[in-house]
Amino acid sequence: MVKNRARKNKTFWGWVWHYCCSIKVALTILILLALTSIIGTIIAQEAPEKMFQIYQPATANILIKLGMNDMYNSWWFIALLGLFILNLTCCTIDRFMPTWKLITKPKKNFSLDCIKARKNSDEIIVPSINGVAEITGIIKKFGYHVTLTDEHSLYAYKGRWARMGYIVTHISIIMVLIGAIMGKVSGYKGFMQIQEGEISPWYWSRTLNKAAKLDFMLGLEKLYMEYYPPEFYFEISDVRNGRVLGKPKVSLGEKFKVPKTGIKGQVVDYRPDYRVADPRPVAERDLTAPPEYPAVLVKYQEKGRVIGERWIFVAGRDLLRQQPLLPDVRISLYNLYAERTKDYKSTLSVYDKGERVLTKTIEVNDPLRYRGVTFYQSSFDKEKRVSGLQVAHDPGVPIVYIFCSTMILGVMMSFYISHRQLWFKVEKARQGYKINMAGMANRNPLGFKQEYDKILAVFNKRKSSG
Amino acid sequence: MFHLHLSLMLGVLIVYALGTAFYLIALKTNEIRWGRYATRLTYAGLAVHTATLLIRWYEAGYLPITNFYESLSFFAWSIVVLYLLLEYRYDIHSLGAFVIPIAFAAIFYAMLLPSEIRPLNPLLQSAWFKVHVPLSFFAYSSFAMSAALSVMYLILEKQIKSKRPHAFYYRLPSLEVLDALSYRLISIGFSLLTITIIIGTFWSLKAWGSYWEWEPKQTWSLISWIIYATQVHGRSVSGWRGKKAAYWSLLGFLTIIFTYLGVNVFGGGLHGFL
Repeated sequence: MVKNRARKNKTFWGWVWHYCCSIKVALTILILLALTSIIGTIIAQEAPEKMFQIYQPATANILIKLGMNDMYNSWWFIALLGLFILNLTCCTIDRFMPTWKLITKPKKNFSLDCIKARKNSDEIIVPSINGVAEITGIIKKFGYHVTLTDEHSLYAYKGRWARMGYIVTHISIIMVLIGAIMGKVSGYKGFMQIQEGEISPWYWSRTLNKAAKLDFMLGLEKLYMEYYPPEFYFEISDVRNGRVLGKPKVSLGEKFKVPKTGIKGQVVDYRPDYRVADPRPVAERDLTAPPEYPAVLVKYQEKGRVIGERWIFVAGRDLLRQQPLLPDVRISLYNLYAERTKDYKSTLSVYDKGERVLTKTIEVNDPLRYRGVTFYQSSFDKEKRVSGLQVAHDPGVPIVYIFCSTMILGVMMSFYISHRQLWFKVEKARQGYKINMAGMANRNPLGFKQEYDKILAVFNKRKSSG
Repeated sequence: MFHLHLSLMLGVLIVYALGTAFYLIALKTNEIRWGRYATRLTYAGLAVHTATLLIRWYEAGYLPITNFYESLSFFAWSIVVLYLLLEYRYDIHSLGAFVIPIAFAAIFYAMLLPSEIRPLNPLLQSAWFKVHVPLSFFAYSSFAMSAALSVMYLILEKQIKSKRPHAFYYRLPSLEVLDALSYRLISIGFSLLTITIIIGTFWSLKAWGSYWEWEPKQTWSLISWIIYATQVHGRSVSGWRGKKAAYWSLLGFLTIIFTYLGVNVFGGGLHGFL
């Protein structure tokens, strides 16, 4: 094998092949891919116009020239990926035959000295055993296949196909990358904004960076939004010393106790964006204040009798300048959760050649597919009744799906099954038999050692009982 | 109920602190009974921790790994589960002194964060979520444990080289066992990370309309994957062992920490919720 490779290296193509099959080259490319990937998480990945807003013009120019603003699609990154595919393919081809041989034609017979020289190796004299047949039975109980290589020698193995795991994984990775390239070459991605009642073929193509037309029309029949019920977080403190007396969390209509007063409060109304025109002249206004002031209306009751209502604002600013109702305590609202989206859905219809062919209600995690184009729910605008959809056509997806699944299989084969082999030499001793045993696994040496010791224990047990 | 959760968490924190202390005492005194106490305490801590997670699950109505607080708690839980499995299988108490502190630190950090239950983001209302997220944390824990073993390896190696080894040199497993076990955990973590990434692409395709977005967390998990892939190949092809493997495992764990924490700190991307 080594000689063969050395001879091949003398020719130019032999030299090329040698580098293509080199694991060092493969790992170097992998690490280069990792290092360059970091760049993309540091430098903004934006359209050229935006790059000029973020960076100095000179920097932006250089970055754009090097394709750094769209790094993962730049020619050099794709070239690096291409090299990686080539290298991985060569490595896999180069190592296929030796692996195949290890599986189908393993070395089944070793001399006694070779067996004794192995790391996991033992010699036992077992008086009460009926020769090779009984030893075979014992090893078979551990899930091994056993063959008799000559009248004194046994060979046992299990999990040999695990050696194929890395081949399955490598082929899967190659195919996933090919699928990804297919998607890049002949697929497209975009964004569509569609108003309730509208029917349109137009979407914004991210691939072409301009408006593009679908081969059919899409209509938004209805936009639904579901919200979680609102929640209000209060903090009640003592006016005199500022000590916190309680932190009730309530929903709309729910009552809470105001400590020390015997009074109960109840949220009867709320505004997620309360606005009060500031009556002061501009110069005196607090311009650092947030433009929106969420507020809740609290009704106070004493022994079931209503004693008054007050608006309570987030961040403690009382925009209404209300008379305090409970002078001893200070009630502030520190959080108001309203209109938290639980779910949003769009009922979409597809019109092909003037006819409605398909209607489906989509939501996040449940898209609509028609003629290879998929529409994903991605955003919404409540006021304009507009639904935002991701549009994607990717012919590489089935390949990516299938080979991602086989990759899981390959990885499981590689890491959770090991090719375990045992060799035995059995000789008739004065009393019973002398057994020389050796074992090896292609991975997880600790796990194998445990099994090996168990097998050894079975023989040792025979020794003492006999 | 809310306060019950926090008191339980405090209980878990205290038990893990005690567990850490006992493991350290066991390492210092080399008395088996301390190791046994430490193991029992850790089992007790795990029981309370599991109950805490189940109560949280019941209260929230969803798998509680949806924000930083919950994820830290789950990370600690997965580390303890994995550690106890390993201790049971390979009978090494000394590892506890290096691993249980990680669980303690995660819970301690979690306790400083807001812990209120928030409604579930529509994106996370998916079956993929229930597979992708727990798997990723078991991958993180495997790597954390492998890194702990590598640290043990490096300490022990230094001890052996110095002419006068410290007493606890005799209480650690052999260099060979540390090296093999560390690699075993990398194999487990690497396979789990691979499956996590793949399931992530399936989910991403369903939810965002593309299986790969190059968003920061995805990219960094790929970088970690490459680091560990390099180690797996270095070992099986070029025979990387010992110190080199230990340093590489620490490098891998650094990228994992960055994938988990750094990405959240420096910018959300689509994974911003966690």
